[in-house]
Amino acid sequence: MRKGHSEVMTKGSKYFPYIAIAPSMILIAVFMFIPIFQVFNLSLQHYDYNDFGNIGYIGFQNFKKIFTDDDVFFPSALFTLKWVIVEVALQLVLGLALALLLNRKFRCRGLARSLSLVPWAVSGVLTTMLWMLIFDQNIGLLNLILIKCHVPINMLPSWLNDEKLVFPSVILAELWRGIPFFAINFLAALQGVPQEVYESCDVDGAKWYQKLFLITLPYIKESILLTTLLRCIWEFNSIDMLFTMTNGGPVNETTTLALYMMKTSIVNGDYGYGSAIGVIVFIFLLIFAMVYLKISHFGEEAE
Amino acid sequence: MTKSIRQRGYHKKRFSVRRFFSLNVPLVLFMIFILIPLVWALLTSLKSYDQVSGENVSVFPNPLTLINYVNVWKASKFQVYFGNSLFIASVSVIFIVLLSICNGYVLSRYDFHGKKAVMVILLCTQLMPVVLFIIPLFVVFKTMGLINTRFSVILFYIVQNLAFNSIMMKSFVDGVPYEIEEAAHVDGCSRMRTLVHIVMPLLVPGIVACLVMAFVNCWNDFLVAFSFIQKQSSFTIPIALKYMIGEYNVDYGQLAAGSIIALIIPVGLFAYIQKYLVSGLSNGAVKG
Amino acid sequence: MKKNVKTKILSVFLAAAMLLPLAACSQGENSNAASKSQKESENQGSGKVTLTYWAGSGTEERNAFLKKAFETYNKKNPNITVEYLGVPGSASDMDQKLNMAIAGDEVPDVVQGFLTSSYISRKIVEPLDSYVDQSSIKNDIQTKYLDVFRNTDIKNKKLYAIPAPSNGTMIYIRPDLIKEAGLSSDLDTWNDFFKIADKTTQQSKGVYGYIIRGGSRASADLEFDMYSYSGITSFFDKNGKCTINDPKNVEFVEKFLGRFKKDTSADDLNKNWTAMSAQFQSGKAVMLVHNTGSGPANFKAFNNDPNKVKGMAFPKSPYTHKVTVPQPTLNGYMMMSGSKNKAEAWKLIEYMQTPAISGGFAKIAGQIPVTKSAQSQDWIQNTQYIKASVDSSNDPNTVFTNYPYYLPNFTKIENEEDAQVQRVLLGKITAKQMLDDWAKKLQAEYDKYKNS
Repeated sequence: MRKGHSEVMTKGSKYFPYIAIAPSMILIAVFMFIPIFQVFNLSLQHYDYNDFGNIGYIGFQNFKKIFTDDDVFFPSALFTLKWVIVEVALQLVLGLALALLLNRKFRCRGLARSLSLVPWAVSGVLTTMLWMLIFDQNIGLLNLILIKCHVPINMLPSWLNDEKLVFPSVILAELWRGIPFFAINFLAALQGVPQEVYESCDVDGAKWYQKLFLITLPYIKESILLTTLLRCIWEFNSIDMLFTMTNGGPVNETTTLALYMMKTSIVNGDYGYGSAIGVIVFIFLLIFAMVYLKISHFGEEAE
Repeated sequence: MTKSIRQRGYHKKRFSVRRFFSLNVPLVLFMIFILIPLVWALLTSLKSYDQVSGENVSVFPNPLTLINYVNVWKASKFQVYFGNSLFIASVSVIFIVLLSICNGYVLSRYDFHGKKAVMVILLCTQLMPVVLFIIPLFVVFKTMGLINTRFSVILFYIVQNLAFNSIMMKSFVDGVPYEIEEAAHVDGCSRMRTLVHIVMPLLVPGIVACLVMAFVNCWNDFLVAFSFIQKQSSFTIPIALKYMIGEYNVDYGQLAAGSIIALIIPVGLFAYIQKYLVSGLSNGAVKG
Repeated sequence: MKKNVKTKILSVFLAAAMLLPLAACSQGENSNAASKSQKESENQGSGKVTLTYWAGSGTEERNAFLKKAFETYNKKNPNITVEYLGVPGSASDMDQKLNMAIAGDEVPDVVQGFLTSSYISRKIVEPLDSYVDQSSIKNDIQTKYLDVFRNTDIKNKKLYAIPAPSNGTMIYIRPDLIKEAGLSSDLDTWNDFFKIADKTTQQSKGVYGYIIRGGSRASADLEFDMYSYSGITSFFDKNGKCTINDPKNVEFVEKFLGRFKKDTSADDLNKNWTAMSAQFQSGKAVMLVHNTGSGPANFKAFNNDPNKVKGMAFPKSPYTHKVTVPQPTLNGYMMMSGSKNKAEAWKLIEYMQTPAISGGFAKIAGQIPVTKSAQSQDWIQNTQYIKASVDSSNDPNTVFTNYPYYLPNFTKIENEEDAQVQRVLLGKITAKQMLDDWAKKLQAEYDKYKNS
């Protein structure tokens, strides 16, 4: 897995990479950076639809308020970290397991692979409603099954309202959606592992876990690192599952920063404050991504 | 070891306990986990309203009814939304994949000034939830005169999906040993021919993954389509599904039916192209 | 040689990729410019006008109805075409879309949605007094409805929206379960509500007396109910002091939330509307406090059997012995101040108020039309819960509680109080503590407004 440069490449095509990247960079500059810059701009303002007469620049006051006078910010930051770590870890391990399974030869492999895409392919509008319909106390699938198993009605768990059950329940729902993401990317990455290496290992009598950890994983290391990083970022910013299923409750206990951002800006109309939270999240994720890439020696040559 | 060769030979004839527990059992467990909600959606779509949330709520539909599917397709004129979604997703995906291959190739094979910056820029596009900057984005599109066209949605989908797919393509291109390209040069292939005939075929699994990911993202996006389109006839499927969530009443049956109809395209697409998710590096290409 | 060919081909492709946005741009501009100039020339030249009409909380049923209504309008007025857009989702989604439209200067002409003080203070809605004065509408709508809308602009009392069909508050009850418990299903005062709840709850069967909305909009629901119990008709008394922590209100909240886990299910803690309706419609609750909007679904779930489901307006306050209901919700037809065809937009609003349209829309949406002419329609008399609601609100003894929607942060404070309600349910704070804290916030907001 080496990228190298030969004389053929660098001669005369010094500008080639720039030309190739240019369209993407232009598109990103126009359609991402300009709006994101506006958000940064808004974070320095008092911009509240309910207080429109007082719109204006207030410097870093929004940020000051977040760090000193906001009792939702830090708990939700903590919860977000908990949410992301648990979700991504579970999705990573299970996604990898599924990819390894789908990479082997068996009958109906095509069917199994196609079905594996379903949780990711189902529209988000349905997914949230569907899991509501599974967890609902009275008409949900889980409790209907428990009733059939003769569990007394007043002992039926309340999956989304019981303080102890709500976290595992939403984790499960999001996990269902996230596994195919890892599975399909890893499946594609696994195709780049040369079969001869396995064969020669079999000859040497290698056990399955030796093969997994010493051969497979190193080969798809970059794919693992990248998919995990991007999934972390996306989970950090994901809103719809939690918003529909728990509305961030009870008592703001399942509020992530992204949900808090959304409620502040969209529901309460305070775009200045919400943008400030967004800026903080942006900077945090940026630092996290850069540190992550540095630590994982991303892009450096493998031994 | 002779034992392992013998075992491999037996695979086709005898039931292997080891294989059963290491492959079949976990596979079935995964499939059950994946399918239960889907089956629940399917059952819901075949029920009448009072069996979903009325007094007669039950697990299985009794009687089975296709009325939800009929209502969704006819009364909601689903084919209009279907067509819009198909158009938008297809056009977006073509450009996403092409641009990602370009970016991925360049990021993998070249070292140039600002390469790290490019990676950071690509990552930056993912760090903020879209809902926060959608209004300034709307203003940008308005200034360009693109509001109320499907192109605005397509353009944004392209930008939104570039980061992930470019970076993924980079790692796939990394997985294609450079020696292959060098060997082709030595044999007299032009750069373009090398790209098309030698590198691309080895990239097919990566292209498949990117294509599927990008397509599903575009197919299922609600926020951008909802925000940028002002004409009912240009709405996409997720918006049509949102119509079924009324102010005080959710029509689960229709919602499930509509979602299952919507599922056909991405799953069908993947069912067709997943056969390309096979190793292209066997056959001693490396030893060459 | 080979490098040149490769570079050329790649450059051509990349150039094409870069030209795509420009092409889309110019095409968009052309079509936009074309449609704009076309619109303008149509408006000035041949007198053809295109109006844009947005309606919130869109569903396919409402879309179909409104589209047909506009087709009929076009037949009667061939020079006016109405472009209709049904906006799905909640009021918040509609709000977001409107904010975007305003930021991008692409406002519709007429919007059917919720009027807020924010729209008034941002001057995005047009005052309609001059139009109403010259119209027959003013005789067809009861003054108390118009007054509710005028109060949203507390400074100038201008009318910024024409009342559209609205949801009347309603308690849905199970007459059969109440009869089984040996009680009458004619509730006189709120004390009867609690009596029924206590007697009809059967925890072992999973059937509960009523449902507490603990999730989103918990505080709003509580407001409706507590002011109905206490009979207080204003959030601020004549001295400007907030009434929300009045001892009568505290008493109600203690009774209502105090029955958590006794007469109500433990999972009410974070219950949202969909779960509430699921619970009632699957027969696991005896009484559901909501509004006429859920009437169609609630009745459908019981096959319209009058023995199994009935709707009633709120019971009387045990203190004032009057039925006290929250003021009608601010569903209205608004004309955007950015509209370029105001005269035609007004005519369209008048058309929406005609009995055929407003009555027809109210029927499919489970709402009450506000015009006297529509209220006399047959279907109203024939639909039990609608008739109950209309009769109650037209009863001279029924009073409205006036909501201070003119306070810009009123709804924001409501949203913050949702978590407080949950704390009361969890026993972390008392009802009195919550209401005192709420009163403090509202008082601060009120004082700020009074001094501005």
